[in-house]
Amino acid sequence: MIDNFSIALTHGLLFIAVWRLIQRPDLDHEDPPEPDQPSGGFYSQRGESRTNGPEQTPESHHA
Amino acid sequence: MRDLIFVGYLLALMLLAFKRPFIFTLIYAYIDIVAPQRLSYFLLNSVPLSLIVFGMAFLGYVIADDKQDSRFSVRQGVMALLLLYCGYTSFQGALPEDAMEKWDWVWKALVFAIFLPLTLRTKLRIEALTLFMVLCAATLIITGGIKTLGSGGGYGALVLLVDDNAGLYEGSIISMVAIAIIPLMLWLSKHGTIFPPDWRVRYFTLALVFAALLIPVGTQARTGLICIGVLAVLQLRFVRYRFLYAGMAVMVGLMAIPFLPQAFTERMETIQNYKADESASTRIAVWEWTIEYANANPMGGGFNVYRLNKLRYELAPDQNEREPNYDYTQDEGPIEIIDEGRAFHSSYFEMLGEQGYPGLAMWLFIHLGGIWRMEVLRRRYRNTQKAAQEWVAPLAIALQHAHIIYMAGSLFVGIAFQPFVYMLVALQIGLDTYMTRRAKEAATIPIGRQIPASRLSGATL
Repeated sequence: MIDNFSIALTHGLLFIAVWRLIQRPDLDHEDPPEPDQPSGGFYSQRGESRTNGPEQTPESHHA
Repeated sequence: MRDLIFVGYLLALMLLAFKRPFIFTLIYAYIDIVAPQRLSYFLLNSVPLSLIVFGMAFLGYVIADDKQDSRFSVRQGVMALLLLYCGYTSFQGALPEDAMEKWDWVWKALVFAIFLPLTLRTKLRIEALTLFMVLCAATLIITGGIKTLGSGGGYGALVLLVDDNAGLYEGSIISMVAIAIIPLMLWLSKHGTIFPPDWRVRYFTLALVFAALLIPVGTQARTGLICIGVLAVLQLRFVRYRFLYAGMAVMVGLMAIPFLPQAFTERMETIQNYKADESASTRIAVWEWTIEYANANPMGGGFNVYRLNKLRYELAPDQNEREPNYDYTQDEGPIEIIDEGRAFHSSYFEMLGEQGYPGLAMWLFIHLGGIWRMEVLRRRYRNTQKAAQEWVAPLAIALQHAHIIYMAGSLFVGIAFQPFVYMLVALQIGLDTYMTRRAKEAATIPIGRQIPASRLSGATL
């Protein structure tokens, strides 16, 4: 009785999980990850501060 | 009747798996953990079920999956090396026939653990395998938890679904596994997307954690109590109010004692009085024998080599009670006991005796390497700014804690090749290689944006 309850409960959940999994496209293919922020490394910061001041990022200058 | 239901269930799962071949890998994990062929009487017993499903999983990967995203890690290489080494010691060892019994299932566990990370290419697959491992183990944990609540269990008396002591169905092993996966249960309840967090998931997890904590009580395996202790200490690492948590844990522990069955508390007291406990004395004697054996045979004796041992040790008289099995002619003085063919009762010594120093070194590399890599991932992603990566550090912590609990539990149980643990290792490798690949993809910025515009304008070109 207890055995059957336990088997039915977990197997039911496993089945629902599989059912949901086959409907999700991200099981096999994912979107590319969000790109990293351009690094505020030492060199780029120094270059920026000479020309534009530290508050501007390379992105904003480029734009 | 149960047989027909199981066959129907498996067929239904496999039918769904044809839509997404990765599901075959999950079904293999299910068969390996729950062993439905053991729960049935005739139909599933007669077919090599795990072989068929592994074949399907492998073919599914080879034919339908995108291999570009698969990575092979150092630890998979070491596992392959360990597999070859175990094969060598099995055929060349001291007891080749006995070794074959164990080799028969060990190679499958290792091959699957080497293969599994290749398929874990997406976050959802990593989550799906975690969920499957937890729910499959839950089949045993729920039934064990309820029976313990009802009857109080007993060492070797708590029957989990089948009266069989193999695989996860053995008392010490299920105690260790039940406690080790508690961090994974908690992770799933917070970061799951297959069953997104809601009140049902919360209550189910709460009940499952409670049932898992009851397993060591029900099986009366002392290893389980040690694992609970390790889990409690590990949880201290990340709770905000440590003193409050520690105080609560001690209080709950003390409050639980009156509710524990008397047989359990008596058995747990033998941890302190190990000199008078036969099981503990045998262990120490076997470990001494193993060290001597390994010094004489540094390359190991092959699987099940413990069957060679003949032990002679002295048991201190128990102050509290008399063991009825032995004839005590004198009241004072130690009792000499002669024993043979005693198992290792420790994974470390199991590796040392069976696979020698090279085997032990590889085994330690695989397991300690896993704990270390999870620490690296945790540190890298704990302060992540990306919402899509918030699940990474907590999963790394959960896997690390599960692994530490296993390493502590395996001090006293010979479970060096437990397939469930190798799935855990595979999950770690999968997470590790997946995150490394994703980090590389995220860092790849189109070339035009890599050079700061200011440098272009200032250049003399």
